[in-house]
Amino acid sequence: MMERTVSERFEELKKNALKDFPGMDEKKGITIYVGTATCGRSASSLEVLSSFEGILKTLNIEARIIKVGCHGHCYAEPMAVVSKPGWPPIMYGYLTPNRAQILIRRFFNEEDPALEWALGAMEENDMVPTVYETPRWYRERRWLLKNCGCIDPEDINHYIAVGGYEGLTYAIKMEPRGIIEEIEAAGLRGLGGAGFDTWKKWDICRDAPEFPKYLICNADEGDPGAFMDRTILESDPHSIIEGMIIAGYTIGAESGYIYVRKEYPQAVSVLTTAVCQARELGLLGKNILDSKISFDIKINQGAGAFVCGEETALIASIEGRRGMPNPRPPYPANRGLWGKPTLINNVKTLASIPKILVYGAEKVSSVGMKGCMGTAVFALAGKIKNAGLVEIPFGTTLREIIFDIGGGVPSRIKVSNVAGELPKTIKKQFKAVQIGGPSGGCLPESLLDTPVCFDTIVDTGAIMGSGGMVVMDEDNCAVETARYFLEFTQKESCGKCTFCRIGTKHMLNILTDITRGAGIMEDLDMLEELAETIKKGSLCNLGKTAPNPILTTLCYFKEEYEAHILDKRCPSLECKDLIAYYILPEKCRRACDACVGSCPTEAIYTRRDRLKAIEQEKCVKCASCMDACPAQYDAVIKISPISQLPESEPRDDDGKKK
Amino acid sequence: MEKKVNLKIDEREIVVDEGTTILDAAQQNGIRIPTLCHHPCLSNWGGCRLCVVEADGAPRLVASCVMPVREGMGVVTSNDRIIEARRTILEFMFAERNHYCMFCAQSGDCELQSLAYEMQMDHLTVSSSYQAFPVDITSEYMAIDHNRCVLCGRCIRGCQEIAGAYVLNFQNRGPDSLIGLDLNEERGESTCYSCGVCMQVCPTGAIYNRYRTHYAVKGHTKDWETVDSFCPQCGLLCPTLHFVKDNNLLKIEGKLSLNGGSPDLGQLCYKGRFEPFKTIGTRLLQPRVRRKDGTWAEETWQNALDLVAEKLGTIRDTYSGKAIFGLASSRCSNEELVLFRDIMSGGWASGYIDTLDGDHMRTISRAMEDVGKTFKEASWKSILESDFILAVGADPYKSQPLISSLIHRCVMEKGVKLAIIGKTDFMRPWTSLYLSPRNGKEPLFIKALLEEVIASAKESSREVERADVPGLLKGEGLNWEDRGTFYDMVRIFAKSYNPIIIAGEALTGTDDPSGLIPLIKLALFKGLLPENTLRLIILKPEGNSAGAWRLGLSSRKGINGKDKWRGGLMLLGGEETLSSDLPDRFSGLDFLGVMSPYFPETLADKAHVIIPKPLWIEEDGTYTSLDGIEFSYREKVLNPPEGVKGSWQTMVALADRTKFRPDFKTWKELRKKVEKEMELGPFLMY
Repeated sequence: MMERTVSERFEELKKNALKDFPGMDEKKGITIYVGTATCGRSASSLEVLSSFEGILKTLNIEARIIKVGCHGHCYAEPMAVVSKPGWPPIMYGYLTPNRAQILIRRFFNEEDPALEWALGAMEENDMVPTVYETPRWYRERRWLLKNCGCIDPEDINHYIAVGGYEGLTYAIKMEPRGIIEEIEAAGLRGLGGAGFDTWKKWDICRDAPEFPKYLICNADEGDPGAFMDRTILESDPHSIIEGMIIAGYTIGAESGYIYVRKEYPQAVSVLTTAVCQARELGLLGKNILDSKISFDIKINQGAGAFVCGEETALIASIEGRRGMPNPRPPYPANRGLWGKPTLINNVKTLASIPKILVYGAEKVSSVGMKGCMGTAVFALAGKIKNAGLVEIPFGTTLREIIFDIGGGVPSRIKVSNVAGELPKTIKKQFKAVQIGGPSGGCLPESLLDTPVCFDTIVDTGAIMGSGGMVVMDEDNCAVETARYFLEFTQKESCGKCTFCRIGTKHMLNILTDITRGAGIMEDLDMLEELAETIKKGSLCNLGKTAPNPILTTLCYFKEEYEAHILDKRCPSLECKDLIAYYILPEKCRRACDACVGSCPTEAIYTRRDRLKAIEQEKCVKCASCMDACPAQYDAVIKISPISQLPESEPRDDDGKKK
Repeated sequence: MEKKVNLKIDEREIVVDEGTTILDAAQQNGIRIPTLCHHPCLSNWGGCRLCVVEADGAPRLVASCVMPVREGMGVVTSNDRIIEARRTILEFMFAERNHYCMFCAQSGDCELQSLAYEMQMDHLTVSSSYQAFPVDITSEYMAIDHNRCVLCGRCIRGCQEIAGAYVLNFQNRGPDSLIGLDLNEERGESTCYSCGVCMQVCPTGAIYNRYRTHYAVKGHTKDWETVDSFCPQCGLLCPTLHFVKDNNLLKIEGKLSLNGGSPDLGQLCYKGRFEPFKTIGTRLLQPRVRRKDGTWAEETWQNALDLVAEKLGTIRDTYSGKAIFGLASSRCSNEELVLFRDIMSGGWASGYIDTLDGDHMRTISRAMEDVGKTFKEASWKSILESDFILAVGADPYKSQPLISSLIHRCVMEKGVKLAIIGKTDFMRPWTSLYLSPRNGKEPLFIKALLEEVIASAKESSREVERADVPGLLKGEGLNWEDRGTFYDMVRIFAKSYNPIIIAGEALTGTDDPSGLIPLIKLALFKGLLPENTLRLIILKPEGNSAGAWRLGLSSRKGINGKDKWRGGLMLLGGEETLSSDLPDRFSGLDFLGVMSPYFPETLADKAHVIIPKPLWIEEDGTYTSLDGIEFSYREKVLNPPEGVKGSWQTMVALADRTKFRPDFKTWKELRKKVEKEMELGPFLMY
């Protein structure tokens, strides 16, 4: 009896949703989808949006403009998909307000789809190649990101129209035990980074005898260079809500919290709208879809502490206490929020739940590798061509992700100031990739064939983490990288446990000394020793993983540390205290003054032979002269160690003054 | 029956209750694991990591203070790896901030220092990363030196769990973390009530007593003597531990206990912890006699006592005993009071004996008479069980500071509503209903409150006499909001199941019991507590006021205060300064003898003889609790300074001079007499 009501209720909702949903269906008229997630907004997609609106009004074209989330192709933002009857929907990237106007004029007035700006079509067709054939797309398997960029995150009907909340109707018909078994069969592991079996966590929490129980969605994504959760929150919030309702039903919780960082204002506003809309349609609150299930969600904003991503600290923060980790056991699944059994899952884990129920465990587990089934989402950032989000099956190698999907390390382009001359491209070598944010490790090229999976990554010394991947090229110094990440963890340490609070500071002091050329070889043993002790003894995972960047760089880039200490040389020419800028006299031209004006400290002077030189005492090593030196000369170089700097030539005006 | 768990610690088979931590299991079996942030009376923290042990051979060390035992667990508490980790932590701590022991007042009484000795830490392998932090000396009682802090968080937990003050917490992140008060206030400006729990649990010299002598502390705690005692200063009789070395008081600590023990959890107040360290005047070591020219000269005990006996004798013989007055401070112990009472009445047939705070007690007594029945007052412990607290004319922070702390805990932890009629600066921030009438107008409000409460209960049945509340409020210059507050008070009081009323000096300090009578009726309105006990706590001005009343020291009738007294007066003084109008009344006396530990400056031109007396901390004695029901005996903590004779000796010597033979010959007999009087005497006070 109940089952029918739930299905009927849902069918009603879906019918209603489809009525209004434009989809990629050409019959519904002209539709323009503009990506307005945070990455798009920072690339001025809102201006592009208003430009679209303006030109459509001017040309008197009736069209719908829909604000969608992010496809994960952040490198090509601002992006838009234009769907015009007679044409397949075409995705455009690198738009500007101007280009938007021109695009519309050409497409609608001249039937010219301006394919030079197009990334590809969104559907199979005879005219335009699809985006799915591009290397960036075809290795991906988009499950979690399926709706991202395709639906309006602020309209629940869009989500329902593309099949949303269907997983929930399946779940309501199932026994909670059955749902846990399904998740176990799908092999889902915690996508927040630890990789704990999701079904096990749910099972413990379900078996806990106390009531009420709570459910928390951990959306406190704090790693520098990670933005997977943000994109899902901003582009497909209902998948999280749906996952949470199912999780709540399974473990017997009636209230859930989404703990989201305050630094994600867009995500917070989208989530708030989504929760309200779900409540209006009876998908949240009492008797969801007229079933006996009740569940509601509160949105809780974090105050910007990295450590609040740790579950016990997160609970303390929600309770209104200072976000400090507490020792486990007791685990939150037994005693968590307000002392009650609490299930904490990451955004991606919860968003996976409806997909598993819709696709079925068999299909999900057919993808990936042994021990890690399904897909993983990574955020590619740093020195990489196609930065953005990628979703790949577990087991894909790092090389495939970085070079095939990410497009490898971009070359540096130097512009010549001679008319007509092409810019000079300087090829850069891949050096390392930092996986797992500040808690992860720095892996060299030799390890790029490691398949991506929780266990294999741990073997390399890094961690899977939440999925941040920062790519570095030959200009990045390994020691400086380790120092940078350690500085972050050190600042974000809560101060509770001694190892983390003081130990990270000592390691940072040593690393800072090394990057300044004040290190000694014994420091390396000391670093290793400290790192091992901190790893073993710290209270929470912030401390336990904080030494990872040091240990991995020490393991894979030890020669760089040695160069810093023994030769006072930075092989990547990054550590400012160990390099000097120098103008090669043989390349410098008398007629050129480009560097002089660029120097903020007036350190550049003219030599007696009318060439330029740098006064080292004044130089602040900002690299402005290097950027300013035209490509055809390329006379400014960095020299390390400083001792190799040739003696400075006298000034032109020296004689006059005397 | 608790489930038992078997485990092995250092190869020893151990059976403990389920849920015990490894540390507790080890300690129960005499295995030592060093700790720093752990305190047996505070919740487990797991921050310092000094107590790390190896469990089941896992590569990661676990903090034994937070790790519960598991069946079949194998624990190693000490091996090279563990010792290395512990020493690293200690080195980290010593390198983090200013831990140069020889310059620290806490040296010798410092857990961090002892641990360094225990771990045989003789040098630092990590370089010092010292950064300067502020030192907060804005409080009168305690200083916080953040440079000596190891951020163990004990003070924070003590402040929350024992004191219920919630003043301290961490502030900033990482190595910049420090202990913050309120929202980054200094101690002097904060809402801290100086109970000193944080200082007691601090393992280092980061929070220290500003009254403690530095030179006396340095050295080893093993040379110290510990005296188990209690504090008689306000009538709550909080148990204390006094630490003494060479007859110097070093520190006073509360007996912390999280479970069991008294409901205050062993917290002390600023009076109990710091007051005994204060010197409030010139300490008298030798009797003094006022010369004709008005200057004071030291005199031998013999001569001074002779002089007192002679003068009082003459007055008695001339004007009869009615011209001899005896006034005692209610701070004195029951023994002193009985001695004084018996000698004054027996030796000189004194016509009038009273205590300095007799007026308060008489007002209470008259109010009780008016109500017509005898009731017991509620114990201060019942505050913690109440669901609504009404304080009228009371400022417990001044008289019984611990009571204000208990009220705060009720408000903070149980959400109990606190209503106040009267003036209080200290409790104002956590008061939910606050009415502040002009001085002496409290009775009007209580009457109105009583009438409204009765009216609200009987509203449906019949008309009752009701107070003109708007008129009353208007007359007191209070506005509409206050009117709302007043009716909220009525409503919440009427709805509460277990309210408790606290009355203070503003009601008892007047001759007029008109405020107390409706308050007793208001308390009766909610029914009695078990054993004929009123839902009313009456704060007394001094620690032993109730004892003095029960022993009959405070005269039942009182004396017309306006008149100047004639004849001779003997004053048994405590350390307090006398009330301002009292010295004037003394000016007509033929003779004024004073027994006091300090030179009474206000009486310098009125007294004739001053005889030294030990402080309460220097004498044995029995003291009575605030509600007059409990009483207990404490032994002296310090010896009186050389030359000062005990009250017993002095008074017996005086008795000898009057040929009076009291019915006790030894101190022991006196004690027995007091005990008997307290037990046999009217159990109900009024």
